[in-house]
Amino acid sequence: MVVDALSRYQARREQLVRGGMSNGGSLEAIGDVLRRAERLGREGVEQALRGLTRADIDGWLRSQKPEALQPALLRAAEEAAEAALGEEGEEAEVWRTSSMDGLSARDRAESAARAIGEWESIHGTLDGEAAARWKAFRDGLGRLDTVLRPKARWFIPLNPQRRAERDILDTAERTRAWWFTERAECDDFLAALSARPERPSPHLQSCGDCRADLSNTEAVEVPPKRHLSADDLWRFDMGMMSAVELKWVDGHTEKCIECAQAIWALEEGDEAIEQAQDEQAAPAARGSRSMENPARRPGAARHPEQREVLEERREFRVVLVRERQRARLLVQPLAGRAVTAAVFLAPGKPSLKPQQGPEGLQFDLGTGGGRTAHLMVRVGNSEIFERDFSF
Amino acid sequence: MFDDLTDDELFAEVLQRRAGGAAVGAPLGALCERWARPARYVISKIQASYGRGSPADADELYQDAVGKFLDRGLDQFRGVSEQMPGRSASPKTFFLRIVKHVAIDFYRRQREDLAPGVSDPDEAMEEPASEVARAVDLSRRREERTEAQELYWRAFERLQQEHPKEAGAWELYHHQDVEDHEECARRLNISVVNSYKRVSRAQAYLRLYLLDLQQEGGHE
Repeated sequence: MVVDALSRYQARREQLVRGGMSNGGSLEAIGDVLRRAERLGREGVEQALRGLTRADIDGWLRSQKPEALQPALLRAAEEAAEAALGEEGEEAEVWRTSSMDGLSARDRAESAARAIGEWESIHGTLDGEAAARWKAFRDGLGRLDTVLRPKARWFIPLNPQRRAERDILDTAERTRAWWFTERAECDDFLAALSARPERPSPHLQSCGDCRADLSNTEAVEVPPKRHLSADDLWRFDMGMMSAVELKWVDGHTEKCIECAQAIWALEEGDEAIEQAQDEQAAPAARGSRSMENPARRPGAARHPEQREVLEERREFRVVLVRERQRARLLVQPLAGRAVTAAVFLAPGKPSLKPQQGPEGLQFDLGTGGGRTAHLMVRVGNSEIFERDFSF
Repeated sequence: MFDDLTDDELFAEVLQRRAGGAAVGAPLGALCERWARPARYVISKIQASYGRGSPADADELYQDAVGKFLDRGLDQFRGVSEQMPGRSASPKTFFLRIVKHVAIDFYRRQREDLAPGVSDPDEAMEEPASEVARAVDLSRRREERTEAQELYWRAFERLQQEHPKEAGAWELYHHQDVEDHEECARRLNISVVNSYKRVSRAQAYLRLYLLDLQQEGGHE
């Protein structure tokens, strides 16, 4: 049976008037009524307070551990999110009820603290170890709130219940009772969590907290792409990747020039390692077969060639070089800019492998002209230039 | 001192000393010295591949690779040799692989660091003060971007721990560029509606985790 919040507290007050509650139960019920006195009145409160001795208060304080509320409230936060984001229906109701229990536990601790304060105004302040325990209890609640108050957004899924609780609290109590009041009007935030609306509701437009939360989490709307990490490259090189990972690497390097370049560098490094091993295996041949790149040797044979500048920009120049039957494309970085490039001869096929040469990046387009290709050049981390060309 | 030992014998000496808790600096130093020339050759090829680098870089990278070989490579080599015979042929090949990866990692990072900040040197000469301010601003923004990305990945780790199904769908849809719910559903063997739901829940949780992390950072 669903009982509205006001009726529940009225029943608590009646129970207090009847008496017979435990000390802890009395303190919580007294505080519950005191913090809602504008709606409930104060009937039974003074009598119950006079019935509690100094030893009763001290005994109750000894049994308290405010820090134990922290895991309960963190669990309640997860449960509230589950109520909103998980399966609907009965399961959501179970999460909601359990989460609300967590918030109620924090509220009961607040009520007990309020009752002890009121008790001191009748019986005089606590002293000695009891006073220290009383201070530790209040400090504990303060620390708890410092940590958890900023997480109030987690409890937005409970807003209908929280508003019902908030509305029967005395006005002066509401600011402290963040568990019922903070973000209690931010219902629209829930929908925006999963998909930011194209036209924000009036609440989302006017609420500073919602606007800040959405703005501070924009990274989620355009998540960073996964790139090959140093560890990925190592595992790729050592043949330690699964078939699924290798498929991802293939797909990714078709789109990401920088990661494709890392794979090409691995291959070039392997060739260098092999050459270094050959060098060791045949030291006698050292004089005739240097580890220097033959393409860079001075005096390497050159052939008559035709050059056509396809694109000239501030950061790079693209030159098509026709040499006998072969064609190659040069992408020359200018003004010290970091430039990467890819050339695709057919859609969906990997880029040609570039070679780094003295004139810049070089793509061997092969023999036989009359074909077209697609060029992508990336300058730095963001600027991308694309064009088709014929050769 | 170790001239009469082959590479393999010298490497065995390193492993033996290491197993006995003795210092390995001398034999390892001698070994790496023998491999310095091929290592520098490998570095030069990686430098050529990235179109940047200098002899000073090469020295630094070589030293870095020796350090990595000493820190983790010896154990890694043993592990790879045992689990995947043939992948690491010899300690020298394994060391050169480390050299290759150190160099590639260095030039990849250097590209990330330099690319947005490099500008026309003529302009830098004309307006040094504004260039300095721009460089400082770029550096700050780069730092903020890096920090934001780190937080994002920490939030994603939490999603993987607490809601692995949602994390799996998110990973496929966004990080692995699938960006198509029908394809996601096919790969995850779930319905298209469930693919939508998982990705949507993942986004909500990621936002909440990210905000928690930002606030925890603020309290530190």
